[in-house]
Formats: sequence, C-alpha cells, structure tokens
Amino acid sequence: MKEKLRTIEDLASTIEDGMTIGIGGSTLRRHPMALLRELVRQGRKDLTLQAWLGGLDFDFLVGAGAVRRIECAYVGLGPLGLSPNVRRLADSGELDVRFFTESSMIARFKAAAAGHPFGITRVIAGTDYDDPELIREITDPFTGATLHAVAPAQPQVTLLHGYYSDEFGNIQRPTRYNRDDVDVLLASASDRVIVTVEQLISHDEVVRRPHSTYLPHHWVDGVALAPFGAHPGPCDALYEPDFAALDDYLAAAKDPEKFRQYLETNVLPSKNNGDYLARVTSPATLAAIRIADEV
Amino acid sequence: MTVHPTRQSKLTTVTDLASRVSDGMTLAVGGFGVYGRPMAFVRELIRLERKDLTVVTTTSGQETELLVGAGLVRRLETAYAGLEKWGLARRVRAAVEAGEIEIADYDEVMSFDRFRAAQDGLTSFSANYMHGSSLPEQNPDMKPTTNPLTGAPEHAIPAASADIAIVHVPAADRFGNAAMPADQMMPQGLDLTTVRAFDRVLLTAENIVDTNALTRFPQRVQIPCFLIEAVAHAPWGAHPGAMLGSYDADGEHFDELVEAGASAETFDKYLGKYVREVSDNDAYLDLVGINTLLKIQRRSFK
Amino acid sequence: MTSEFSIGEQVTVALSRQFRDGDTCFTGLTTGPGAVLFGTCIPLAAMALAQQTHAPNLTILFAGWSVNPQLSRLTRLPDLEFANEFMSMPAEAHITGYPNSIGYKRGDVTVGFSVGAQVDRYGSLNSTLIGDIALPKVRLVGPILQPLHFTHFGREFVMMPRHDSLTFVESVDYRSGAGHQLTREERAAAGLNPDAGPALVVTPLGLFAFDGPGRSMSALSLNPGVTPDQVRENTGFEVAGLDEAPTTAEPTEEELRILRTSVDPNNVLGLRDVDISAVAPREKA
Repeated sequence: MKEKLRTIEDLASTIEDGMTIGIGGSTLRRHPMALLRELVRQGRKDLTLQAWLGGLDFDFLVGAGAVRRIECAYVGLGPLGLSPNVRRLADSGELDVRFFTESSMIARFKAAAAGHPFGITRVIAGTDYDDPELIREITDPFTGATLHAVAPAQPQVTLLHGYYSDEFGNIQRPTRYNRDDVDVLLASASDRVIVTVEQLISHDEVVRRPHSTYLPHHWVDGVALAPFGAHPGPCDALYEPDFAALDDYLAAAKDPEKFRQYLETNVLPSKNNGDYLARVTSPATLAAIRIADEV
Repeated sequence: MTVHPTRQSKLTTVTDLASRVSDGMTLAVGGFGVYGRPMAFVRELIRLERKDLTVVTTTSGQETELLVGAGLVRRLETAYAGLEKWGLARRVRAAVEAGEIEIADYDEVMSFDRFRAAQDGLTSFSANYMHGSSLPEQNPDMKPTTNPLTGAPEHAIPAASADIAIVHVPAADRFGNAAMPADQMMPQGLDLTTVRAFDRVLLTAENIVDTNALTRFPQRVQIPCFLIEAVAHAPWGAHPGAMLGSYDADGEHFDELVEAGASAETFDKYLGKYVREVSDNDAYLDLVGINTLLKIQRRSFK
Repeated sequence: MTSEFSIGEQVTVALSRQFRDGDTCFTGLTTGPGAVLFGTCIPLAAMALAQQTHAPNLTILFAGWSVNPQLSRLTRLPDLEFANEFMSMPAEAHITGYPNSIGYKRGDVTVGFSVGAQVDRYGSLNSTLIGDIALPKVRLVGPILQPLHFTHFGREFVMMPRHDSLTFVESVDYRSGAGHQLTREERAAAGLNPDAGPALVVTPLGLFAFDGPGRSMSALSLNPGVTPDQVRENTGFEVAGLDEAPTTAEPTEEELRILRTSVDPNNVLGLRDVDISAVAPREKA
C-alpha cells in the first residue's frame, strides 16, 4: 500500500486555479475548513465548487474571492441563516450560481459515480429550474413521458474532512456519526479525493475495525492531519460548533471590507491551523465544545 | 430522565477544590506513573502555598515532583518516585538527600494493597514478603508480627490513610458521577480504588457533561455521585502528563521540567513561569499553546 | 560455521536457553539506553525465541499487562507504560485493573526480570538509594516491584547493563530485592517459595548463577573475549568458579534465523546495534 500522508500545504498545492472541486460536509458541518483556509492562503482563484448543501465552506471561499461558479442544491448556514458572502456575490452577478433540487444534485453525482452520460430526474418538470448547459429536457423512450437529463457532477478533486486515518489513507469513522452525509457519494464521483482527518491511527488499529472504514485507501490520493480541522463548524461525534467564533466570522462576512480584515488578521498570516485557532478561539473554548461521551 | 431542580450541584472551581486542603493535611493523589495526574489541581495548590502536607500515592510522578519542589511536602508515602522515561524526580531526590522530606517506601503492589485495605475499611493488613529486604528497617510503619493461625513471621502494613483524595477523570456531571475511558487500564482501576478508599474525594474532569450524556453509557460511569464531595472542570488537567483516551504526554514540557529540576533556583523559575505567575488553568493552557495541545491530542474512538 | 552474530544476539540466545517450557515470565519497560537493552529488549527477544524453540508454552507478560504480545508488529520500541503503539500492538490478552488475573502472590509468575543500581554477592538488588538509609547520598526511584519479584516470582533474572565494582558490591546499601541472605529455610518459614529469589545475573561480561558458597554468585559462562581477571577487577566480591567457567555458547544458525526473521524482523529491539561488551558509562549523579 502506498503511503499517503502529507501536510495540508502539500494537499492544497495539488489544486490549481480554475479547477472544479467537490467539497464534503453540509451547511455548517464537517467541512475541510483548515484545507480551505490553506487554499485561500495560497491564493487560489476561479474555482468551480460542487456540493450538495453548501454552507460555511462556500461562504468562506466565495468571500475570499476564490470562486467563479457554484453548483449545489442550497447554500446556507442552517440555524445561522443565509450565507452572507454567497448572497452578496450572487446578487451582484460576480458569482455564477447553478442551483438544483436536492435530489437532482444527488442524481448528478450518482451519474458521475456510475459513469453514466447524464442523470435522470422527474422533479424538474413544472419548475422554473432552467439551465441549458446542465439540464436538458428528454423523453422516456418507453413511455414517451417528459423527463430531464442532468449533467454529471464529476469534480476533478473532492476535499473531505473525516475522523481517523492510517498512513495509507484508510479513513475510518466513529460508530455514531452524522448519517445525513454524502461524502462517500462525492468521493465516488470524483477523479481524485483528498482528506483531512482529526487524528492519525495505526494500520493495526484500522485492521482491527474494518467495518469503520468508509473511504478505503485506494480511493484516497492524499491525507493530512488537521485536528479541529472543521472549525469553526462542528465535526460530528467529536466537537460542537464554536458559536463565539462563528459569530465573529458572520459579523465579518456581512461586509466585504470587514471580511478582508478577518482574512488578513486570522487566515493569511497563520502558518498552520493551530495558529489560526489561537487567533480566533482559546483552549478553554475548544475544551468546552469537545463532545465527551465517546471518551 | 428528570433531575429535580433542587438536587444539589457539586460543581465548583479548581481553586475551591484546592482550598479544601489545609496545611498539615494528608493528601491522596490519583494517577499512575506519568498518567492521569491531577496537575491543574496541583498547580492551584502550589498557588495557595499550602505547607507540611503528607502525600500518599500508589506511585509518584510529576505531580509529586512539583509539590515537593515547591516546598509543600513534609512526607511522602509511595513505591516509586520518578518520571518514567524522563528519569528521576530530581527535586524529590534532592529533598530526600537533604533530609527535607520523610519518605516511607513500600513495594509496588503493596502500595496498591494499602489503598485496597483502606477501601475495605481495614487499618492494616499482613504481608509475608518483607523479610530479607531493607524496607522494614527504613519504614517503621511496618510492624513485625506473627501470624496468629500459622505462627509464621509477617509484617503488618498500614492501610493508606488520607484527609482528602484528588483524582482526575475524563468526564463527570455536576453531581460527581464520572466516566472512565473505554479502554481503561490499571491506572484507571487504581483511581477507582482511590475514590472508594477515602472519606473526602475531589474530582477534576476533562469535560463536564450533562447527566443525560452519562446515562447513555452507565457501564462506563464507574464513579457514582455519592462518593464525591465536589467536582471541577479542568480541561487538559493532567498536562504535561498523559490522559488515557484524551492526550499523550508533552515530551518537550517534560524535558523542560527535568532541566528545571537541576537546582532549587532553576525549579523556582519553572514554578514562576508555569504556576505562580499564571492565574488559572485556562491561562496555563494559553501559555502551553493550542499547537502543543493539538499535537499531543489522542482520543480513543468507539 | 555459524553466520556472524552480535554480542547482543549471543546473550539473547544464551538467556533464551535458561527458560523452561511453561514458564510465565514477567518483564517491565525499562528506560535509558543500557537499561532498555538489558531490561527490556534482550529479555523480550529471548522469551520470544524460546517460544519458537524449546518452550512453546512459555507466556510473555510484558509490562505486567500485555500477554504474549506480537512483538514482530512493532516498528518502534514503546518507551512509556501505556504508549499508543504498545496499546495497539496485537496481544493475546490485556490485563487491566488491579487486582487482576495475575496471581502475583500465588506463584503465577515463574520468571521475573529486574534491573538495579547495585547487586551484591548473594544477589540482593538495590533500586532505592546509595549511602545511608536514614539520609542517603543518592535517592533513586524506590523499591518499585522488586520486593515482590525476589520473594514471590519463581526465579529472578537480574539484568545488569553495567558490570563494575561500584555496581557489583560486597553488600548493597539497601535491599529492595532480597537475595540469598534470606535463606531457603527463612523463606519457607514465612510461607514463601523457598526456591524463589535471584537465579541468574546477565551482564556485558557474562552470565552468573548462585552456586557459590552459601548460594553466592558463581560464573555460569563468560562472554567471548572476557577474562576471569577482567571479571575480578570489575566485581567488588569474589565470584566462584571464574577460572573454570566456559565461554558463553554460540547461537545456532536456526536460533539466529528465528531471531532475525520472526522475533524481531524490523530490528526494533536493537540486538545487533550495540556493543554491550563496553561497560555503559555511569550517569552523572
């Protein structure tokens, strides 16, 4: 087995301007934020983002000026409301927004995963969803009914945040985890997959609980250690959201100048995720958001 | 599951816990080797400048090194005083060699047995294997006796005795119910003996959780609330030592501690930097730094 | 003609031949470069080798809690009692808690290993202090488990990384482990195993037993290149049978093959790395 362990900087450097990237997690939850912050530090531009339910990930990258286009079913921060940066840049026309329904976006990823030329959906009929590039009306060859074909969503690389990995990229999760999770679907639809994880474990530990592996090593191109790598969002089973840090983030995201200052104070000068955490939160807060009942 | 609103919470601060230890008291300290030591409590005790304490442990590590180096200790009862791979506890060593502290040595499982005897409400128990060793000569608390049934020569070993015990746990609720790690080993077993062996038991906890979180895993909640006098939140409260299921030891900090142990002056500087000039555990963790805390993090998972 | 082998391998093989099939052997995790080789690596390798040669029913108890660990899975020797690589190393059983499934005082352990700062002619071991008991010149770690080792474990193997006259003394300053000054009769009268106590001493100079007068130390074999006079100069008491002692036996081809390919394929135990015939330097007090 190939050894896949890298640094976050190395993983980020494999992503180029203009690429189409998939991002795992949903809304606030379990996005690879440490990796996204590194992408912004490295000055990425013109990215196309594909996801199911975009949230903190999209808001951050869009606000940082790294994104040209987004494709997803929703962008929002769950209980914390709409995504301020995405809304602002969508309204101004600077951001190319391609919305789908939840199930038709899933159909796009499924088509890519299966190697099909397009996905098929019934739910677009009768709606105002209209995207000549990505949605075409078709006829059911058996019944003659009207259906819609959706273009496959096949990211060049998908970025995920997970829980545990060995040095070979066998990614494992705890017994209890957020089931509302399409990371595996995204991974199967992508050309490449890179993963940040909360903790490294030995191969022996992986082999002892094979049922916990959800991304086998041969799917994974690179893995990096990133404890609290989803911060300020939560990582299910491991830590809650850091609401204080999220409040600070949202206050900055409302205004482009404030967001630029937020990036210049907290993101751009940080040499690593630990530095970033030291700037925006404290050990006491990290201890307070830790989920303890799996000790 | 409903908890009555007037049920008494035992949640308090580390400062309040430490202040319950008075000068001259005997303090039983949990943990083993470099593992699971209530370091946040110990640092607070040093800030309170208590004196003339007797410290009783199954084994002694960096917690005893700090207490002795800070001048709080008159007497130590243990089987081993050291820092495992980091070598001798240099301040303990210096204090013994200068005659500044009394030390009562015991064999290691005998040391565990003293806590078990206390758990069983005994004042002493018999041992048949002190013969030929220097322990009874050095430790007058071991009394030569004769077995009343067989006539064989033995030694009566005193049960461990302490005014207060302090133990650090992974998670506790505000009533003192506390959970042990899933993959618990002998140190955690010794901590369980410790909480059962003394009248007054204090806990510091990595996490304070809601009672409902504990009721989901009652098999892991091995410390029942009725044994506990008070509990305080002390995240990373065993640092620089390891805490099973939470984090590894901070090797660089141990190197710094060992170097500081070279003399009373250098140790005072260490105590100044990490204890006396630091207001509380949160400030201590800011000093240690998030990068270090993340580097040593090692959570067990189910 | 056997392949080239290191002195570490030679001592390991000699030690492995001392085990009996069915032995239950207890070794701890020692630290410090000389101590770790003698206190942990050589015993572990010897036990694993014995399991694969003449003692298939031997049980390895590592650090008192890991039963028959699969040492070949190690990539790095653990240096802390509950180090993660040690906890996740496959083993047949983990002994957790105390008291536990080892009947320490019921004779379950038939071989123990100890390391100390001083050993005397009757095999008493000192891990506690140098100098006067009331006010020692040097305070060491304390008795640890040595009192139990020297009374309740069947045979105690004393692993001494240093063989000099400051270590091998006429009489230890403090007996943490009781040697043969405590006689068979006294042990029996106390309800202890009369055959317990120090049985073997392993040093860079050779292997030593207790067949001298009054069960005092005697030479079992001297390592290649070591002369009886060299032992005399480095020992603070007379060792019986020095001139008659044979050279420590060479390993067989098969024993070497098993050591190198099965017991320690990754050379984690470092048996080939260290020239143990050089006396380890004494640490600055």
